[in-house]
Amino acid sequence: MTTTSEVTAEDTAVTGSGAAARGGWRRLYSPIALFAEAGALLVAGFLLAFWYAPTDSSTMGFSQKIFYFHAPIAESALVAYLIAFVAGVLYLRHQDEKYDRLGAAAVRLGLLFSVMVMGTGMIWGKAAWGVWWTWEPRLTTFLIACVLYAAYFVLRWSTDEESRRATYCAVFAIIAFVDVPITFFATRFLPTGLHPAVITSSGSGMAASMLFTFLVCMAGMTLLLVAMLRLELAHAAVLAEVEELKELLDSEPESHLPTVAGSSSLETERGLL
Amino acid sequence: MSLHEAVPYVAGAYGLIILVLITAYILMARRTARLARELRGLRDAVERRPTRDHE
Repeated sequence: MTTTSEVTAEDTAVTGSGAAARGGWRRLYSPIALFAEAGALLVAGFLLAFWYAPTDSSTMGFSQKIFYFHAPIAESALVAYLIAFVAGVLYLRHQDEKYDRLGAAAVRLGLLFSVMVMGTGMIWGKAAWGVWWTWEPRLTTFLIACVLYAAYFVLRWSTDEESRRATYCAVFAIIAFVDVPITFFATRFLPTGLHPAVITSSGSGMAASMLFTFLVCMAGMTLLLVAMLRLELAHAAVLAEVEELKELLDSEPESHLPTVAGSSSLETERGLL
Repeated sequence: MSLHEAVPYVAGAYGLIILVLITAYILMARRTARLARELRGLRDAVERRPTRDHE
């Protein structure tokens, strides 16, 4: 019964309605509040990008408006991979399942953001360079990161035993992270590529209004990542409790766990988390 | 690049972002709904247990 009440509490946390009772600063950190804050900043960023920031005077012209969301999404993807790296280190150190869940959630969101980066990047590349894709250092290293982190889930699905799966994934997340700083610094170390470096040691090279718009979008996208990560973690925690409760009920001969539609898919999902 | 030429690219990029985010939202909502169903089943099973113990 105790487990059920814990599950119910976690369930409430997923919906976000329990956040109101916590009060104080934690209200601003609840998933619902984070989504609202991220949404407000992103809408503001969108309006600033089109009605406040001037149109780029270079050959890119109006297509430069893609930059205000493309670069913050890329930054969020790299932050997600950094979180997966830290979670991997923490898991190997403490062997705590919560770090494994954090790592998996971060990689999943990192991939989601990477899809958006690749898509918007290809569209912008076609507009600015005239080609959908070119084997340029930044693009190539980012594509390698995407393939590596997609392989993370292949590894995750291929191992059933939980602690072994978590250890393999933690090690993989640490190794895969090697590509992230290479991606980030590719435009700085190899400036011959087509992709520009947005902010360098000599400044951003943008007008103040452009930089302000970019920072608003960056803050919004980072908050969106945090909100989604919190939701994923709450979901994973409830799923873990459900699995625990199912095992408890199954272990008792008198109990009859009702067949729930989607039960097998939940087991698959457990492998994903 | 002129404004007229750039508009389809800009609209396509922002459309793609919205499409991916909506898809992610739908997938997350479906997973949460499935989990809620599972929770309901478990709650029912737990509630039925004391009755069986008395029998």
